[in-house]
Amino acid sequence: MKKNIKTLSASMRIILATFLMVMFIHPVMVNAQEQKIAKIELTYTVEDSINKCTATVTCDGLPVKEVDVHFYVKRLYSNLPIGSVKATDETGKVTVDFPSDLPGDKNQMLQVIAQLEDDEVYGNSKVNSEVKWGKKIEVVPDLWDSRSLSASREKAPLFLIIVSNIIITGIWGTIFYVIYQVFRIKKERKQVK
Amino acid sequence: MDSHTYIDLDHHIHTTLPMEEQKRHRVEMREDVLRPVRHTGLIGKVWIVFLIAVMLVGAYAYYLQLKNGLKVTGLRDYASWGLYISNFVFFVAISLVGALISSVLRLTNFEWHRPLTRIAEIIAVAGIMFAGLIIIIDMGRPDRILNLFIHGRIQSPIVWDVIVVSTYFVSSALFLYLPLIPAIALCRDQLTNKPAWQRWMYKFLAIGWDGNDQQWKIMKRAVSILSVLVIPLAISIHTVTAWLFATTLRPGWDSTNFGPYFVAGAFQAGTACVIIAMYVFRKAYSFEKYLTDVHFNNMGKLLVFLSMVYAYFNVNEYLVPAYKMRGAEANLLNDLFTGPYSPVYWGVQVFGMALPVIILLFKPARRPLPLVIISLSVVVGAWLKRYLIVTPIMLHPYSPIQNVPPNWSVYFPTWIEISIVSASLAGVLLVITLFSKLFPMISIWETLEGEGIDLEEMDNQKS
Repeated sequence: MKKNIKTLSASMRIILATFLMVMFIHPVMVNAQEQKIAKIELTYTVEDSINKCTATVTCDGLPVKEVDVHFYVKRLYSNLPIGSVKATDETGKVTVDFPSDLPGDKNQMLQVIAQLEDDEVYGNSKVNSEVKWGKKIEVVPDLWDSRSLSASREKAPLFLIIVSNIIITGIWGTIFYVIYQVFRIKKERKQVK
Repeated sequence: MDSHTYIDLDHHIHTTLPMEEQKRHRVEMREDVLRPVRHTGLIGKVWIVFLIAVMLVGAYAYYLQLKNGLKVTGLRDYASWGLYISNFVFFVAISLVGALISSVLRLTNFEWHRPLTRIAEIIAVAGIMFAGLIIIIDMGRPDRILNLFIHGRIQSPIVWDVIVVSTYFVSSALFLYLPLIPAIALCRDQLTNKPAWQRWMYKFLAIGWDGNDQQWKIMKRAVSILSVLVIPLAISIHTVTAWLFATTLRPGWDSTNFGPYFVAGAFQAGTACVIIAMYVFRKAYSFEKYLTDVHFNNMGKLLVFLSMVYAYFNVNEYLVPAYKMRGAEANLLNDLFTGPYSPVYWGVQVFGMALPVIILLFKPARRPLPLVIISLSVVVGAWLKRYLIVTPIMLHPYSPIQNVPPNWSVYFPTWIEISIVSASLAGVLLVITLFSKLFPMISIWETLEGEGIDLEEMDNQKS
């Protein structure tokens, strides 16, 4: 076998070396690259009354350039995309303008998500952060606190509770009176005896 | 004692029989009504076995439903009410007849109702019993039924329905039981050769009845109270059932007419059921003497009247929206009038309502056999009508059905649903049959009282 290798021509040796590189060494290198973990940091600024959110992507302390970053705000059932998907610049930064009319939670906080999605080198990476940019929600207390047909069990309308209880008591009172008559019938028998 | 004449409340002049004759008549009637309790023939046994077999198939189907969930039924997101709820409405409907025969006719002094009261009451009790059961069967998680009581909101019509169904069941059971006490005491005294459990049951249920003056008074008074109580209860039970539909925003249900429309339909269906039961008991138990052609004739007239009232509500329910034909309502009505449901819809309107009214206007049609055939047609029509009230409307919501699997936009019951519903129908018939094998199906004291024979007086003379 050794003899055979030694006898390979120079061109064949190059082809064989290229083949071995493509088959074994390149995937190892690619895998090594896939294992890289990107770190995302979010910062919030206001410029000319416009809210801006900046994501800084780094890997091993070095800025990562030209990776697409997706921005979202968490809503009740799914995530709301913010701005268009942009790539990071030379410094690993990307900035989106943030809408000012998104309803926040009771403290006006918004849950912001920035993530890399299926990047060739860095795969998926995600960061969650909170910012007080939410619009204040005007909670109408009457909707839940007052008595109504659509309210909870405890907040049933008083007229309904009163009327239904009068009817139920009246009807069941009569039924119990009739049941009492059954016992009276039994009692009458004993008296005769 | 000499005979004398009296005028009953139907303005008929009667001659009361001498006391000896009265006693003989009472004994004769006792024997007649106790005969089916004493002995069950081969046909009766085969009938009971058949009903039990149908119920067992239904029980197996329900086991599969419990095991695998409601996916074994044809019910899906849109048609979430189907055969079960149609059947529930039908059972509630027929249960109203107890109030009609036992209360309305009693309070309005129609004397001829007397031999029919027990038949009507047992139909009412059996109907309402299985109406409650079928609702539980319709639940995907019956183990959570207690939550309805723990967390139920008084604002919800479903809670109102639970309250009225249970209240009507208790009052109907009492209304069946109280006038039955003298008959139970009779069974206790006469049927001494029955098995020990049966004798114990008679003794327990007879609550020491010996027919003394006070007992008669208390019993009759309690029955009078119940007669009054049961009428608003019966009307409210079916009105609330109608509100289950009418309080939702759906074409076909969004109607203020629904309460009286349901009550009218219920009286019609229940009356037809009583006629069928009368016919079967008359034939099977040889009750020709007590369930006479006069009773059939009168029930036939009542059926005509109730069918006309129901027809009037149908005109309101369908003709008024059909005149406007607006939006989603128009889609539903077109499907009913000329679409896929039209054969059933017109079949129900013609054979379940129009033809019975026309045919029964003629006296020969009110003889037992033709009347029972027409009543069967009315009952089948009534059952199908409940199906038409529930199912097509579920499939015609205001928001269009889109982006769902194709089979969600149609509904056809699976064999599981058909088996369970058949079992519930068999259950109602089994309860009625077994009841008739344990207790006299005709009330002796009420019937004889209608003939001017006072059992209370007779018992007091005896004691």
